[in-house]
Amino acid sequence: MTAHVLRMGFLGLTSALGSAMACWLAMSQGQQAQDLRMQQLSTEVAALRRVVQAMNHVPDSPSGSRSAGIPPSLASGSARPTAEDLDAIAQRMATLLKESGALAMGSREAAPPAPPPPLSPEQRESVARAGSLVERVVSSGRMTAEDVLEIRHELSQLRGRAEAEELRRRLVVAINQNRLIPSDQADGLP
Amino acid sequence: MTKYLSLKSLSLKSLSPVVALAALGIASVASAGLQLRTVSCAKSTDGSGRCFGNFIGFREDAAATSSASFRDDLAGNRSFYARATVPGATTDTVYTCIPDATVSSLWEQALSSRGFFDVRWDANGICTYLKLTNGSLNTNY
Repeated sequence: MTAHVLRMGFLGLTSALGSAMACWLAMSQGQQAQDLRMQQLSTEVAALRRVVQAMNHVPDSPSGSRSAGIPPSLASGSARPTAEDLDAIAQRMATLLKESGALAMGSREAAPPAPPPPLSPEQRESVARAGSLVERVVSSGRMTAEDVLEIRHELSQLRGRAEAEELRRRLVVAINQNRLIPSDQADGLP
Repeated sequence: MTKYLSLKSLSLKSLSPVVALAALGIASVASAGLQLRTVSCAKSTDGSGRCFGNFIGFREDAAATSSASFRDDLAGNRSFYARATVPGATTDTVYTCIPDATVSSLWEQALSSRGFFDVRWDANGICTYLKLTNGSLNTNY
């Protein structure tokens, strides 16, 4: 009788231990599966984030970039300034102050810039020739590679002169307004 | 000597699948990563406009004449000059501008840039805004 009771008790204990073991194994496997699923979800979210960031690579919001000038979004009043915008504004202000001479002069009033020296006779001839060339290509609506080289040669005699800048600007405006078509062979502006 | 050669031969044979797999792995890594090829230029009737994109985009554009460049010369003449074909058009269009003093402050970087750029100009042909972006998406040369 005692042996029978002991045997039954042992069997019950063994059964209980087996059940506990099975439960622990099931829970452990469930935890592992959950961890694996969480890892997979994290990977998928990271991949989606990279794709979204790449899709957001529009001109107004790239990272690691530099810019100069007043940001167009601020100029139109459609956006609040970001740190990058403020940097661009500060850079423009510094440039303007430097150009005005206010930074160099301190509290004194900036002196007006000295007038440029008069054109030499050769430079006056270059201005006249370049001017007539620019007039001719704008009137014809076409600018060949030879025209570009010829105008560039004349303008090279006028380094840094406002007269040369004005002639180049006239070409740029005519090109952008589609009144002047540079040849495919033309190497940029004169 | 004979034994050595046979071992070497066996070794190469057994390694060939590994080498092939490694080569495949390297090839797939070399072509991985996001790349962008962007070309976009537009202008208004008054001549003001904007170009943005990356150099690799202009270089590999479907239109054979597409190009974009930031220029400088010994006389100090700086300009942006681009050709692009608007979708649906049969001929290309030239877009160009001369930087003002502020934009000119970034010109040295623009000259060596290989990445993404955004340049805008006004009706007077003056570049009034320039943004440069460097990143792995923008260049592979």
